[in-house]
Amino acid sequence: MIHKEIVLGKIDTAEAIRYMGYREGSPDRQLLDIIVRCEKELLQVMAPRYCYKVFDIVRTEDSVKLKNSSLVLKGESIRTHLKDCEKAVIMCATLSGEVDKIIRLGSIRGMTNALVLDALANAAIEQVCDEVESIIMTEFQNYHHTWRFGVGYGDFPLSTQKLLLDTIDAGKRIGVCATDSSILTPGKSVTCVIGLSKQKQEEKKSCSNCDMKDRCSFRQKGATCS
Amino acid sequence: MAEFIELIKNREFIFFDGAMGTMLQAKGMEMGAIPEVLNIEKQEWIIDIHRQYIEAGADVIYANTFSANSYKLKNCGYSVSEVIKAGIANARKACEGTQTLVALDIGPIGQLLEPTGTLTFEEAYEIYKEQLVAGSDADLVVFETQTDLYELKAAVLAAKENTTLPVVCTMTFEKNHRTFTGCGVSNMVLTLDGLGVDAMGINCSLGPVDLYPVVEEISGLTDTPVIVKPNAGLPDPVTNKYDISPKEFAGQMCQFAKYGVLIVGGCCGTNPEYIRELKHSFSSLKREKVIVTRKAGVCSATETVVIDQPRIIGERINPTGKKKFKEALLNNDIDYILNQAIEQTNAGAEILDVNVGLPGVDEKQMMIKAVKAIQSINEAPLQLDSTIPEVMEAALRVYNGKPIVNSVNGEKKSLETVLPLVKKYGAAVVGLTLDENGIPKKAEERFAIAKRILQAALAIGIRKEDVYIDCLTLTASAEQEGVMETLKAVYMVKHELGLKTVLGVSNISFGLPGRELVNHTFLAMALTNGLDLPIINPNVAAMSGTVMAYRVLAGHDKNSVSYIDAYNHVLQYMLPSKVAASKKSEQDKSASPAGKENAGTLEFAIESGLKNEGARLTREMLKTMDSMEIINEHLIPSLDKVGAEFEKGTLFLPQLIMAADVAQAAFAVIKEEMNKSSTESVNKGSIVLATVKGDIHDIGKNIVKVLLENYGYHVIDLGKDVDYQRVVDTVRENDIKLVGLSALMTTTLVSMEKTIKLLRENHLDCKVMVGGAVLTPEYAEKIGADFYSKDAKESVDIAKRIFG
Repeated sequence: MIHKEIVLGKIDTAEAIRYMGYREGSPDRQLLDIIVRCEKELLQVMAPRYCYKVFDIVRTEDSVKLKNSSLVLKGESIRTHLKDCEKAVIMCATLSGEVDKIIRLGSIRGMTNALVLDALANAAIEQVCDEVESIIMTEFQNYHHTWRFGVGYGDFPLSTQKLLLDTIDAGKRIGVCATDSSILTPGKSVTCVIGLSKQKQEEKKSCSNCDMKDRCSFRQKGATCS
Repeated sequence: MAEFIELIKNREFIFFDGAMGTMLQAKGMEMGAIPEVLNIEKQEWIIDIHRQYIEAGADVIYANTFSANSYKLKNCGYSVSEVIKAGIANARKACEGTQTLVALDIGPIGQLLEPTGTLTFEEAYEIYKEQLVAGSDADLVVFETQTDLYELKAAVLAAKENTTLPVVCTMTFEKNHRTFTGCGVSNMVLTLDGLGVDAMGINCSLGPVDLYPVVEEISGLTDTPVIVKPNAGLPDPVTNKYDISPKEFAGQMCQFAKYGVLIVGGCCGTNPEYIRELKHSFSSLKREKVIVTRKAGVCSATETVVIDQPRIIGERINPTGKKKFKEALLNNDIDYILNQAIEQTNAGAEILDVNVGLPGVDEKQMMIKAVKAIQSINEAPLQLDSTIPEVMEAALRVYNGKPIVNSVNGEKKSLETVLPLVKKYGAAVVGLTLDENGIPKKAEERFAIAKRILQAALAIGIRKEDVYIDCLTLTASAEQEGVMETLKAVYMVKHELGLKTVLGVSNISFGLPGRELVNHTFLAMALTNGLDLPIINPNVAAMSGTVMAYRVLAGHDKNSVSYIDAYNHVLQYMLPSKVAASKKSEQDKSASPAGKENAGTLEFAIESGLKNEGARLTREMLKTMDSMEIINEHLIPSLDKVGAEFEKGTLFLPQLIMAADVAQAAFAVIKEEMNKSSTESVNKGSIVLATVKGDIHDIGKNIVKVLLENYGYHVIDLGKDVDYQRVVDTVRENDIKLVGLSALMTTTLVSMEKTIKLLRENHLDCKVMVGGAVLTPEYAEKIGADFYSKDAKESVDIAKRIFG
């Protein structure tokens, strides 16, 4: 078993700058200075944590079940996502509540700070998820994996969040809970389902399977988000 | 009930049981299921597991009630009371014919408290209260696997106020010696010792070895019995098996006897075999006596301040004599208070005094709000400052950590009302050396009052190290001979009574010119006489500087590390203030691209995001222009220009926000000026903003707020997760014409719709604009909004249409 600690050495600032709405062109020095300072602050306070469990998939007529758990994955989208998979990984990752705190602090000091910290944190949690994924895959080298399917994508109900967290004990293991509206807390946290299969899988999310495709600001300008 | 306390007194070691969840999964329970439901549906499983632990030698077993709370049991078909009573009954049944005791086991609620989550402290208290009342016939209550000190405080208060059960608390620590929410070991110990629990320690977390340093730290800080209940190592994500065997576990646990641990058991991954081995290994061990040196100290949830050298208490959160502060309180402007907190801690304050008393302000509600808001962004412990016991109790309740109470004095009535609060909530207290007869002239008389306060505190169980004495500063211009008496009293209290001392310093210079000079000279004298906690304005460099320099000279700041760190680059303390100021603005200039035609204007500062420069230029302009002219002719046109470029896509969101931040700084200067003349005010219209109920994403709403304020609108910001009714009430009370609602999740769009519906049902004559990532113009129309605002810029355009 591997439980490797994840420590980010730096944040993908180019990605964060894109989240801030930049497409062509780059920020001026003023903003770059702020980004560098905020990156440093974030790296100092964030404590990335993750947990996951791997289940065998049990398919019934109209749902996908996970063996030894009471979790039922409902909806056509997750069903399609896992259609060739034998196993499903349920994972959760977080940057910790300290990150929420410095974003709150940032918004008191001036919204620029808050905006930059928020974008950087969004980039960082993606990096953490990438690392968790690669840690998981070292244990399943004979398998192909799907892209990370988030709770709430397509018709996979957001209300699954609470049971999903309970199934992998995320509250106890890494301190992630859901609110009554199924929002993850701490704020910079992610849950997702990764399918494992002996067959080759689509590893990247694309516009065709994205919920936001009709109102995506990248697509409106003829670009994509990745 | 007293049986558990007897065990604590008489036993070398007490053995608690091991995991319940692990055992239930082995019996076939699915992951994600609610284990407590089995109290009713699979009684025989539960009783069997308890019996196995009793046979293995457990003195105390945990009833299967860990997550039997109203949140987790929602929709399970049974009530909290049914599930808990069944859980206790099963445990009692398993214990028949034995001496084994039954603990009501209570884990975290499963939702995070504010500010990270949405559950309030008061709601958490009610949830725990329901569990405690249902399980009050257990022999003790254990709060375990807790990671949030605030949630744990709600739980302990609920136990103390609704049952007579002995209370055991265990938190879960990580390798960095902190819990997930950042609570450190000393924060836990100071707070729980204050609240008066019967045992405290660790459960879950890691394997035993990783917990050695954490447990060693706990037992060095407290003489309260210590408990350790670790996991059997870490689980494998595929097989779900833990990696330490019963024998290894028991072997590793033996070390805890050296740290004086009294109670041992197991958590996730352990089973009766682990407890059997544990009992066997401990049979030949002796619990070692650990020497505890209690130090005076206070804490927030994440920061502990040990008073082993002078520590600065910031005095600025106090409306006395501050026009802007008073105005902020009357306008419910919490951000103003938060800025005071940030400014002071940046300037070196280690503890912050919080006083929000003002005629016309509901002090209790304001105090609760201020304490909650400050502790959501600030780490420094607080000194709660009010003369009204009811306000003090409200503040003590919602404070997260161990605060200082300011203050009690030698009057009988004061001692009788304040000290019980200090004891109940586990605070430290400032004792003022005055009584029914006023402030005594002589040091000896003040010393006598200090002694009386100490005795009264000790008599009700407050520890000596938690009593700090304020010998009271008198004004030098009025009572010159009193100065040396105060200092003499400080010396006596410190050296003869052995108590920590506090002094508000700034009063000394009242009525004299060059106050700063008098203040820091007096501060230096007081420090030499034994002052531990100067209450000062840390933003005055000479004041915090005096404390820092004193720490060097008195040998606290070893090798002057902190001093050099603070003063290596900053020499403005030595320079007249005007020189320092111009140096600062030069730095700002050098960061800007030179040679632009409008360089050196407010327009340029806004477009380039130069905050300090913007504020400075506004100050200059105010000498020759009136406020409205600056706003209408300079601020708003510049913002319009930046906004237009943002719309075209030649400028991006961060640049728009940076411009807004500069405009905000300029506005602050203008407001200050208006306050001085108080003839005019800027308000082009009042707008209510809220992130709707259930949603906690507020960054978008905050951006809209800043921009609207820049255009001269008065924004009433209701924050996030806002109740429908509150929006309605605010609109009605303030006769609001425009409301902005924000939601970021598909799940919370419903709340947006409900808020709008309620506004309409109440026939309020206001327009509603909505925004948020998942919203579309069509959806906005469908839910009855008047305007869809695609970004912050557009919300300003909408406001202009409404208010002109």
